[in-house]
Amino acid sequence: MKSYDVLLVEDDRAVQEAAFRILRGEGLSVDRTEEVGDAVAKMRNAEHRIVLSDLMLPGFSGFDLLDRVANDRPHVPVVLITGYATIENALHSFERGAFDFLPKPFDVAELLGVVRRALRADELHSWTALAPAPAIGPRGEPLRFLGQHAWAAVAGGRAVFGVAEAFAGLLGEIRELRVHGLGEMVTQGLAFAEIATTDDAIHRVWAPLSGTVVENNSELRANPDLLNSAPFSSGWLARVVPAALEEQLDALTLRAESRARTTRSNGGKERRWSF
Amino acid sequence: MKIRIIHRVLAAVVAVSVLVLSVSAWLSSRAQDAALSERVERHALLLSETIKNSMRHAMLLDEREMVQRTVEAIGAQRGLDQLRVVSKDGTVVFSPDATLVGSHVDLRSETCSVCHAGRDPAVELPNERRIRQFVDATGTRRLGVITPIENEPSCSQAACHAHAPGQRVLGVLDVAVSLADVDREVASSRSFTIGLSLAAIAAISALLWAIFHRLVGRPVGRLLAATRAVAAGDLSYRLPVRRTDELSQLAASFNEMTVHLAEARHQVYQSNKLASLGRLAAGIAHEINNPLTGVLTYSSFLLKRAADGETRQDLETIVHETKRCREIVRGLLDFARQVPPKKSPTDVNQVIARALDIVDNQLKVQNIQVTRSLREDLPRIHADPNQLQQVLVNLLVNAADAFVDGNRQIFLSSELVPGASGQRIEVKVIDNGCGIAEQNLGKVFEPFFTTKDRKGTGLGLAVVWGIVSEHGGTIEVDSKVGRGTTFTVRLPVDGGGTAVRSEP
Repeated sequence: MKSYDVLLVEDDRAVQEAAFRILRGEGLSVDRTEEVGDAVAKMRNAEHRIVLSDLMLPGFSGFDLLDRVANDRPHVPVVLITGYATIENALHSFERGAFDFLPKPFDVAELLGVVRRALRADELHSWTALAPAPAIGPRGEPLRFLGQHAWAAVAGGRAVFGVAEAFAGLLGEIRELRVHGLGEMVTQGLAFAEIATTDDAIHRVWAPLSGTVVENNSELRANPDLLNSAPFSSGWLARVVPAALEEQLDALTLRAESRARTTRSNGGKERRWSF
Repeated sequence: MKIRIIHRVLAAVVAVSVLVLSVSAWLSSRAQDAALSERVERHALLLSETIKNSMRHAMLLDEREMVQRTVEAIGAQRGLDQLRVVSKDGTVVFSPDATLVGSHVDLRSETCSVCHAGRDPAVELPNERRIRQFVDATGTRRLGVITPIENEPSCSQAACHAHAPGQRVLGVLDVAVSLADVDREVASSRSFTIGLSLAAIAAISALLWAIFHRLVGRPVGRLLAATRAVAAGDLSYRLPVRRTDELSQLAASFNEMTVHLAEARHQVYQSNKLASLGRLAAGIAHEINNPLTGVLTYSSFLLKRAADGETRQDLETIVHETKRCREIVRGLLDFARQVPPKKSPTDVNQVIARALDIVDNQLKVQNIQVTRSLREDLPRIHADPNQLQQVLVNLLVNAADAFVDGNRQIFLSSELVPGASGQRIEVKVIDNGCGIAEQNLGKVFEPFFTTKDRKGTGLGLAVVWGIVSEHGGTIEVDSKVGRGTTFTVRLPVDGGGTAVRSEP
């Protein structure tokens, strides 16, 4: 059975061609198509390490493909390319088990960032079976997760943000860390931090909650690799005053629920391909 | 047909005046009539008595010729219509008209029936029965007086022996005077009264019209013109307010209403502008993202592979500019995503404190001194505390960005101020920074307007504007280049607001 690094599903020919050439330029093998039905057929006939799919496609959407993969091949990381990066799209892709999402328009570094992390997750055989994150934060408050992407610990009217399994240990060597500064507004589902790595990639972190930044982690600034080594404690990114806590908490999951999902996912892994 | 208020008022006043004056004229003319009648009666009685007395002596001497001459002389007087002496059997004994002497009077006639109504003639008559009024054949009103001539001892003892001593009444003196003069006088007095009343009514009406026109007609006319002007869209129309009466209060209140109408219209205009901008933004973002992705991926891909040199610089420019496009689209989306406020009872001072808490570090780093002057006991308002906090954080960050060097100060105040539709909470954020050029003052709340080239999307104040207007409030900016800027936010206080002590 033929095997590819990436299955690229994108109906916009210019974007598909550009992404194809960029990924091929990185020495990756890329299988590509323009619609979900064909993608499912390709996955039946070949193995793909990761799926990179547009959300808005003719006929079945990227969500349909995501559901299919999450059900049949849960260890395959799916990255969704969103047409307009609305919060709803971002949150839904995490709720449905996406590895990450990539808002258009993106540049080479941003594309490579998320693709490399997804491939590294695949190298670890199953990204859903990564070392489980703790359910409790450093100060005893429960961690609330935005998929496997980021976490927030809420206590005393403040929330601490950090990155979760989709970053931890997958980033590579960090060159530069940019986090929203004091007084800056952050919006749930939009980038509040950018991590540039030495492999010319950029990794963006979406805020788990909306609010205003009141503190950055000076320890992390001095030692950015804490993101890889201690993402759930000293590697936190920002302290935020949440702006709409009550209604936004729904989008986040506590780890007890998440573990149940992981178990189910692992269970799925046992099954053979049903494509 | 339009019936003006003044016409209604005048009609009512005329009706009331006519009624009052008619009644009073009628009463006064009755009183006058009574007085006149009494005078005439007294005059007639006196006259009658005088005639009788002047005849007495001649009669005692039985000098009939003399009596007849006296009667003729008196009868020639003007106004004395009738004068006759009638004996008790009805024979006219004396009369100025000699031809009538000796003629008989019907004892059953109206004149005689006063005494001769019964079988035996009455011998004594009270004064009021002696007098009678009647209308003669020519239609002239007359007053008749009958004076009985009584027997006296000297009559029966007189030499002529004309009257027997047993008789009580010898005859009567019948005098009638014309009432024509009196009636003329009464009629003239009545028409004078009516004329006077009509003149009074006319004068009152004219005066009332003038007063009404000045106090009501003209102000109402001005109000009418003002409402028409406002209805036609001229919201800058203002009425003069000179007095303190109700109509002037109405004018003042009208002015106030127009001011608020103008404000509301401006706010609606802005809201509509922002709402359609939001829809447009979402549409653009949707359409532009794919081509932008193509440009960004290809250009960044080329840049990645390009050797150093001019081409690389050009590609860097393309990538950079494309990313700027991306930021603009993102800003538009952020802006279009503004959610409606979730309102709850909110302590504005607490919101201020929290906002200051958030920017505290940044302000310290920039060496900015903040002075607060918060009014205690502010009523809670119905508002979204998070959105209000965002307003204040944006204003504070905006103020912090306005400093170039030197003495950096931000003054923050909250106050309760009266407004047209109830009290308002007024929050001011004042900085002594670089200020805003006058030509830019009108644009600061417009989306994408920014003077901060390096940073900012130009949406901060547009977001502030949107939040404040969603709360039914207003925001104003006042600035002088080199002196500083003042942002004034006013938020309405709800009717049911309760005072709370603000926390420090």
